[in-house]
Amino acid sequence: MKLWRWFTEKGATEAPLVPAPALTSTETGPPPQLADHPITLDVGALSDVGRVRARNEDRFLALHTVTGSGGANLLPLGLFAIADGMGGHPDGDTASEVAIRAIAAHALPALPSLSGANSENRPIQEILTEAVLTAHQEIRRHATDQDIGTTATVALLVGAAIYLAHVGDTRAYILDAKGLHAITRDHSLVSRLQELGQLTAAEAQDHPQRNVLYRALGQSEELEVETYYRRLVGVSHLLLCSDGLWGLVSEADMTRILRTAPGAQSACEALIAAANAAGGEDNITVVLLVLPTSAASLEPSLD
Amino acid sequence: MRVETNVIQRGITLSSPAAEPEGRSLPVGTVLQNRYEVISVLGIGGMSTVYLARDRRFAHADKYCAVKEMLDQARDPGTRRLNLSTFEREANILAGLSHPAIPKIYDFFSENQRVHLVMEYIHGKNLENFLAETNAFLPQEQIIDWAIQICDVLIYLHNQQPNPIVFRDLKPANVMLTADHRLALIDFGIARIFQAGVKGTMIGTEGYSPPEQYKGLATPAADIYALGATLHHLVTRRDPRMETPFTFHERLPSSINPAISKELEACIMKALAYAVEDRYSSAAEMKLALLELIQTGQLDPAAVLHFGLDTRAIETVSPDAKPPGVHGTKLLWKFACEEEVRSSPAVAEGTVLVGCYDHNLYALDAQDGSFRWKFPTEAGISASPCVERDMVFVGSEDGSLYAIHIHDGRSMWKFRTGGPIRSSPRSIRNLIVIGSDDYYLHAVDARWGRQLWKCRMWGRIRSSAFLDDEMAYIGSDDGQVYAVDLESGSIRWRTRTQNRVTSSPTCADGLVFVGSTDYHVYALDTQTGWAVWRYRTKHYVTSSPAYDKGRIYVGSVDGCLYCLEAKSGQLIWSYETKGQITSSPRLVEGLVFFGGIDGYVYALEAKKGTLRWRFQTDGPVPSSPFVAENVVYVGSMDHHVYALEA
Repeated sequence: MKLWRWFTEKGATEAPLVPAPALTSTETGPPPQLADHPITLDVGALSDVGRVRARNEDRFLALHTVTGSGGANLLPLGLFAIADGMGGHPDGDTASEVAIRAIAAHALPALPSLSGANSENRPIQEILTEAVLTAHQEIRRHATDQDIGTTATVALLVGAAIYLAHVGDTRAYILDAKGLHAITRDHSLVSRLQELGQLTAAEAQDHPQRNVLYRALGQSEELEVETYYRRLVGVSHLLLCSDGLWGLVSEADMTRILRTAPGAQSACEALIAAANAAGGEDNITVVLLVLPTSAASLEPSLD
Repeated sequence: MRVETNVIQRGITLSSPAAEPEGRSLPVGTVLQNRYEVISVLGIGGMSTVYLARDRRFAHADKYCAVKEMLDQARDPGTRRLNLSTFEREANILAGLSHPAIPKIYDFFSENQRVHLVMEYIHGKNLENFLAETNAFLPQEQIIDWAIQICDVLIYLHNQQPNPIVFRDLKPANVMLTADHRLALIDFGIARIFQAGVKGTMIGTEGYSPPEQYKGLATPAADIYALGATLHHLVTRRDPRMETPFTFHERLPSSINPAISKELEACIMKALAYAVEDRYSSAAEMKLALLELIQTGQLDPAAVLHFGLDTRAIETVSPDAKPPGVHGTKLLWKFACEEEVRSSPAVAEGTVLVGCYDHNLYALDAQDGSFRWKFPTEAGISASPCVERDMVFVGSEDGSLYAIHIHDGRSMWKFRTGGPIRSSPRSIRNLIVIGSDDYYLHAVDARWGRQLWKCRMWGRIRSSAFLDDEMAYIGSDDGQVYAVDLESGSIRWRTRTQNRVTSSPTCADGLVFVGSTDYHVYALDTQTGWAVWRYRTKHYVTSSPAYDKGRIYVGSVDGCLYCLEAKSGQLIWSYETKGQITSSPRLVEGLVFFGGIDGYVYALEAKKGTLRWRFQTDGPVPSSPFVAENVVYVGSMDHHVYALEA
């Protein structure tokens, strides 16, 4: 039962039985088991207008539960999303609001464990990409004659795997023993210039066009959505945040806060306080998952 | 540096006056300076509006001009004064210019807290609108003619004394095409003076500006890059503002518009070099290169200034079938069987083991291909053997799984299933797992040939299992991929594809990779069976994927070998053969080996999919190569087993 230990604990395989969730059929498999330790995640989420803006144009989603999709042990399942509406646009919060609602409405019913065993097994990356594209089209329908737009970073957690769909400069980070790593790539002009070696990180930090995106929901007809897949091997935290956080708080400070905060929600509060202390120039939004600390050594080896 | 977003810039040219936001533009009939009467709005942007106005000084003539109105965004009065003086200085410079392709500056003034520039009205259509109203590629001659005209203006501007004038914002929307087929540059980047740094996230990049312009450098080389970007847009009809910035080199003009010559492409791409020193050193040098195209190329001068649109069909470029400079490889030995060899060899203890349609399992000396022994079954062998210590296991279409001693071909035991076996056995810790046409996945004790468990599926099982510590992953003709618990034989999960799964799964990074005859390659989560991604080929995928260093290699009946990124399913490269690929690739030391129904055994560089060598056999090669100690062992339907130098 090595694969399933990830969210439980070593030796927790002899667990009390619970009724089968029966979302996916299993002919001869053992009844699902719930581990001794709760497999619900420690999730925090918080959004703040900051100290300069009048309105908060960021939106987020944090939904989590367990799934019996595997037919054996229950696995944690969560859908998390963050959207940063475009500043300066008349309805920046319309776009981010529509995006979050459309993503949730599209992605949730399409998930394999919720859509019935006999429906077509559609790849998760297709589902998430479509959810973002649906949001994109919704926003375009709402945008009558104004230009509105938003970023979107969507994360689906299933067991020990994380799936991401991403457009814009909101970010997903993972924290492991080595430190904080951004999984997502910013679709911004300055990050593109950095990739080309035209700007240094320091120059990008102060660049007058550091907020210019080349890709966003609600804009041009075609939208390319980037997807990522990661096993959360040795990962202690998964963080989604808007540029109101990463633009003002250094990765070193973010790491320190994540490692010292007693729980997910208090970490979110501390991160937002740090961004406000640094000026709070933009809306600040964070969604944080704290994963079981024993995760590192429990990932299955598949050789 | 301009901070306008392209969204706003696009608004200048694309939005019709009716779609303007209320309350921002002057009503028709407004008279500025008691002289310029607003007739209509020509364009509107976030920072400026351009009006068509009539100059009332000429009471009895319709004398029109363009009035550009700019709002100073700066709040600080000192900055405003500074901006105004910068504006006056630049307006004076522009007023001193005299070139047929540059609108004359007549006047400038400040009114209603806005600054106004009065210019010659150019009647025509900008090239962005021109593109939007057409849908065929423009003739190459037309593009070259335009390019030369723009070079002429840039030569004029860049040679101004004491300092060159940099246009800064060359793009199709700023190039007007007049009724008499001439081009004119409009909208000098003077509006930038009044733009404050904008806070908050914005969308859109300029698309035509070179990388160094974002560091605040605007030199004549920037205009050359922007001309390259403009020409690229014109020849490809792909708007660079819709693409990831600075990716022109990933969209070569001739790959999109095959009518574009390599010479013109080279010219455009040289202007688009990232590094300033790699571009043309001047507009004059670029003009010379363009003129040379007309003189030396087979271009039809009559086509220049011809506005009838080119409707040449786009030909798809087919890759050159014959790879240049490719060698075969050395044949070390070959061994003739009595029938087709469809299965894949296995090599262990210096012995090559291969099943044949002549009912035999052959054991050959790996060194020289000499015959060691053969083991007869009662029907053809289409699956591959596996070796565990000194035992060889192989399934036969006679329905049995055989265990044979590797040294002398002695039978150890036989296990009978209820149907022909076309699945290859896999072993782990004295457990043999094999599928059968009887719909069961069988687990057999390797030592005694006793059944440990069997697991029923809903179709024949011709896929072979991938085993990890606790699970077997396998496909079935019922269209599903199963994860079966090795200890109990119970199904942990199953995932449906749209057609039979005869491809054999492989696992890495927590994903199960497998092909289906629904044309897709799937990546499934090992924990849940949920599909993570799928990649669609153009035909059945019966080949089994191979994993190496974050990439998946798999063949398709459509004739291509595909290399995909394991995490995302993104195509990295594909290699086209002349027949189907049902063989499964093997990865060894940076090379991909596989057989083709076209009769060749291929070795490709894994990195880019370039051909290292290929070797022709006299029959299709559905067999998958086995590679050991720099030797490739493979069977062919020409009845032979080959040993080739890797």
